[in-house]
Amino acid sequence: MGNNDFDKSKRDFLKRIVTLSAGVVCIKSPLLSNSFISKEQNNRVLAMFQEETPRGIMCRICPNECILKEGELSECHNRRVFNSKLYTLAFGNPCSVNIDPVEKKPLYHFYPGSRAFSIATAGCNLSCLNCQNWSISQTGPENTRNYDLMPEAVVKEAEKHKCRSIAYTYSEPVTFYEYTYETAVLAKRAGIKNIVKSSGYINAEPLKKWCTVIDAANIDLKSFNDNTYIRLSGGRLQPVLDSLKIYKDSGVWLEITNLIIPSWTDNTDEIGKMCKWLSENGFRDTPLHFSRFYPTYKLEQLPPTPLEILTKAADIAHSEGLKYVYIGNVPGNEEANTRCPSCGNIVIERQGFTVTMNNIVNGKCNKCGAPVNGIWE
Amino acid sequence: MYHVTGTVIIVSLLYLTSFGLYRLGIFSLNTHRKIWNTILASSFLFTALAGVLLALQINYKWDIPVINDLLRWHVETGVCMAATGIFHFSWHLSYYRTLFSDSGNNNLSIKKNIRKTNFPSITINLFIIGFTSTSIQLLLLREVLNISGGYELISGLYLGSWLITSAAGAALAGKSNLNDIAKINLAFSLTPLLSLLFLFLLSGILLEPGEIPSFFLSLIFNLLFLLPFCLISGFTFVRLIAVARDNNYYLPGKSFSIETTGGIMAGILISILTSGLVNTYKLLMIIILLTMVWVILNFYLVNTSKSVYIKLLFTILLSVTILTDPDVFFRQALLPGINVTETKDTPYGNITRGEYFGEESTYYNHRLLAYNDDVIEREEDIHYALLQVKKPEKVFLISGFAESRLAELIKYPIKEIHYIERDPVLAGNSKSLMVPENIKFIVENKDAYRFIREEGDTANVIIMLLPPPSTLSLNRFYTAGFFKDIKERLTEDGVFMCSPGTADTYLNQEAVNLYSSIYNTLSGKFKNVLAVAGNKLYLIASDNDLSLSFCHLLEERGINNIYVSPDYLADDLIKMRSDEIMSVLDPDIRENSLAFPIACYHYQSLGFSKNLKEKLPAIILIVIVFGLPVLTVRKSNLVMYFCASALSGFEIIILLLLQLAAGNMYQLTGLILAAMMTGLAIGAGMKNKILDFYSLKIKALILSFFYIFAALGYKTVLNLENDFISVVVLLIAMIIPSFITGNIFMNITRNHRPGSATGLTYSADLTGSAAGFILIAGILVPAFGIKISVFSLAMLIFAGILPGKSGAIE
Repeated sequence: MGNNDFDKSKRDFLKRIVTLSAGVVCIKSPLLSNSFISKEQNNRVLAMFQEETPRGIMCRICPNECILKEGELSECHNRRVFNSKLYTLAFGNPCSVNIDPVEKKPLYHFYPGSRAFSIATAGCNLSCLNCQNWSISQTGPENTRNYDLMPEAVVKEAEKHKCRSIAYTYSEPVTFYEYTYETAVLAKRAGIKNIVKSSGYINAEPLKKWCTVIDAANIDLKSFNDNTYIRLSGGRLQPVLDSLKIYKDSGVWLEITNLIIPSWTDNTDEIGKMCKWLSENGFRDTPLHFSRFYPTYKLEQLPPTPLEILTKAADIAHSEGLKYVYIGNVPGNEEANTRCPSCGNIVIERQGFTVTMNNIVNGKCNKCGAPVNGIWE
Repeated sequence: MYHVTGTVIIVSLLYLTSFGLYRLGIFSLNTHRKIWNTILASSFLFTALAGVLLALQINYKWDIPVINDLLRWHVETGVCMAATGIFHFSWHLSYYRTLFSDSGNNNLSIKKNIRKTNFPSITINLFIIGFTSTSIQLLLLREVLNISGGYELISGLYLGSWLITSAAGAALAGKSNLNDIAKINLAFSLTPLLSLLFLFLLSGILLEPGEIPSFFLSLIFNLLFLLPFCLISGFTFVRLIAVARDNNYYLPGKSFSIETTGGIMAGILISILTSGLVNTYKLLMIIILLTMVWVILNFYLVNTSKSVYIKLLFTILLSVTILTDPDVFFRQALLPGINVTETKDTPYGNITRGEYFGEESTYYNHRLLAYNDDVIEREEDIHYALLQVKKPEKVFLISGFAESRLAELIKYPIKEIHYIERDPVLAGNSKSLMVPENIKFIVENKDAYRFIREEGDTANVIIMLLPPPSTLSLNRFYTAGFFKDIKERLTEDGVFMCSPGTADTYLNQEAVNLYSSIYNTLSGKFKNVLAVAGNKLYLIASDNDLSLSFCHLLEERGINNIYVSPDYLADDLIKMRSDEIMSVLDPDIRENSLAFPIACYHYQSLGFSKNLKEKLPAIILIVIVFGLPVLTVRKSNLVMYFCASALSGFEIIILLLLQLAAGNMYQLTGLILAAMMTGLAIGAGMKNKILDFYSLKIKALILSFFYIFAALGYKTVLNLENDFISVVVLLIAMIIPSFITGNIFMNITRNHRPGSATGLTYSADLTGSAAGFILIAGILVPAFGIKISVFSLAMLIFAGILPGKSGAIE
């Protein structure tokens, strides 16, 4: 008796633990489990913009350009390779379905006062620390409760609820690209407009194709600093700037949102640079929304954005020549009204999400006759 | 494709070839090892460099031309390194086998090399070690709870990390030849500063501005920042035990008693001082400075002329610390998103006020409590509930930021408002609020749980604005018992509203479980319960009919709001969202109760779901750090390990019962700790013929029966009407198992020969305590409730008795 017996019992114990762990790993291993495959099969659709490479199948939808081997899941949680082909798992299976006022997107110059039938599947190609939809963006469709809503059904529901548009929103429509595209095609035929609320983190070619069916977009320009983009969301700035140009050039109605986060994106110099870039690159007529941040997800120890900063940002934007500048997420704020860029008259008065006055006639200010950019009824 | 098998086979063959050549005498063993050391070092270097470049490429999206090749070679050389490493590890296996065995060799060196120390100074030294350690432990515990979200799992993690690193220090002390008591004490006095520095550095490095650490990060955080101080603390205690034994014939049990006495004094003092008298960091700095000056003056500058200068310096430092507010500086480092203007520690937490570009914000335990222009929150918090009642005359508002909520309440024809807030500072601030003359505004500085329980007036509306059930303490307010009491304090048409969390666009399974448990609990007491999805999820309950037509009701009542108004809301959309939420709630989810705090468990699961990728690494790390050390515990110390494990688990349960019974945790935590240490000190230090009659196993059995008895009888304490009696019963309940556990320690170490054996026993004690904290606080109580958790403590003792030795004669 002594150390040997103790050593023996230790060895036995270790052996058992290792064997047990190996067993657990085997049981849980996707290589042996078919359950996820069968659950996904119904919504598995061949992905667009894929390319075969020596190291696997490359997805070319967004700048992440994931290269995936058999069975591997993409970074956005929505694409997987089966039998050497890339499939999207997010098709006809939205996990969020709501009806929202179009002003909530926010889209202020696109059929004001109308409602948008809003859908989203799980998944996102970014990982923002302040994501308010993290429960669906940071996971994939196989982990969410989903509706069965194929593109035709989406259009029918939008018609049933008298929605002027369908909004692809909440998570990131880039990651359910095919679903958005096919639904948008059908919606267009039915006379329903298509809106995307997106981070703009998409490659040029897929975006150009998308723009043939999309009518309006609100793009989050999260920061004008590449390092901040990487730290805050895991993405890069340049692809978003490129996307903005493509949206504009393609004739899609574009509005831009900049969420001002204290200590992250509230530097007025950077806001100035951003506004200058927008002004110099043809975005003077593009509505810009400065949005107030509220603590959420992983950034819970920051205060909400002070009104002083939001007001300063709006002033900077005006001084750079941007015509339509709004402050959002601040109930009761008067910067939610649309003014004529020529005479300053309030052409659209808003109280919250409600349009209380509309002085636009044939796309022009009813006082001075100057054109007011937007898509009006 | 990577050549895993091929690489391993090749490396193995090469190794065998090299080994064969050595055996044949072609070259020496040294040469053979040099060859493989070189291969290991080179493969490591290449793998590491390639890995760093890959990480930089991913983080900063650098365009490295050969990135694909780099990845390939990183993996290939990594495989080679792994294979080589296995051979290399086998050379050193014998070293690890004997790491925790008692060499006994350093015993003689202690006697030969020990410095002469005075009899009293060892006693004082032990006392001061105990006092300083416990003080720092309690103060840093408060801070960790503030930074990490406040729930019991984190406190279990913290205490577990404290103990495991102290255990490592204790184990090292057993093998160490360091006998310079002066040096040891100097290290002990300096390392708290190092740990503080680590705390702030790690906050800055590991966390982004405004980021709350995930569980995994909290785990690493705790281990790293506690390491310097706890390692030295455990080391110091064991070396002092050795000194005390050899110079003063103190048995280890007596040394433990003296050290624990220091801990008791610290517990009591900290409890008093942190009840709003002194802020945390100020107190921490004072204790650190006093310890440093004591060490310097008693070990380095004893009766020298230079001691005058040291005394002067420390007097100045202490004066500056006392007269200024160092807490503002420290809070600023921990809350970089605001300019901290004021900070105050209360008996229940920390209130920090900040300013950022002209806007003021208030944080409670580092969570945003109030800010300017909180239109959405203040209107939703009030109007969804008030609109349900035609003529609300009396309202109870439980917690929340009274100032802005009051502005919404007075839009209704209310006659009386009771604001119930247990934090004396928050309650005190509310007393000066201006209200219209026709409204009676009463501030009740009481624990809302007990306030509602007491017989008293009824209200038309009770609005509870406490945080979700993120802790076992907050869980009390979401239980069947509390909701029953709420109903009894409501009028017949009365309405109750609470907010158990956020109303995300999509509720994941963890959120569904959480909200279902609370919804089911409410439905068990009220006829009607509705879910309203605002920015938070509101659950409104009443025996009367409830309505979601807020816009219609606002118009009817003539209430003018900014956000809760037709400008922002639409009744049909509110109903649609509410129906959607109600449709996913699961009626089979268990109701929440005191004895079975399932809502708290679900809330913790919801927190984990925010960082799913870290779940497995966290579990693995916990098992490695807190679970595997049991393998290093010798059979003779297994009883100690499991008894300590059970005692620490029982401590957590007592703290919880204290909250449930007396409604106060922070202030009385020190008392409970003091009670535990009193029991340990007496048990470890007392020689008694009656006690000596019983063997170790019998004592352990008595302990396990005590826990079984406690499991069966704990509800009696909760039903006691008198707070004072409840506290006394709980203190006695803490002392009894502590006494037995301390006595077990004395039993085991009594006949130890001088050497590392005592260090190993102490290490087993600490390691077991660490495991107990994690197991009970983190898993058993939230998942299985109090009764089963206490029963499991008895099972732990049996686990120690069965394989362990009956005595501990070495």
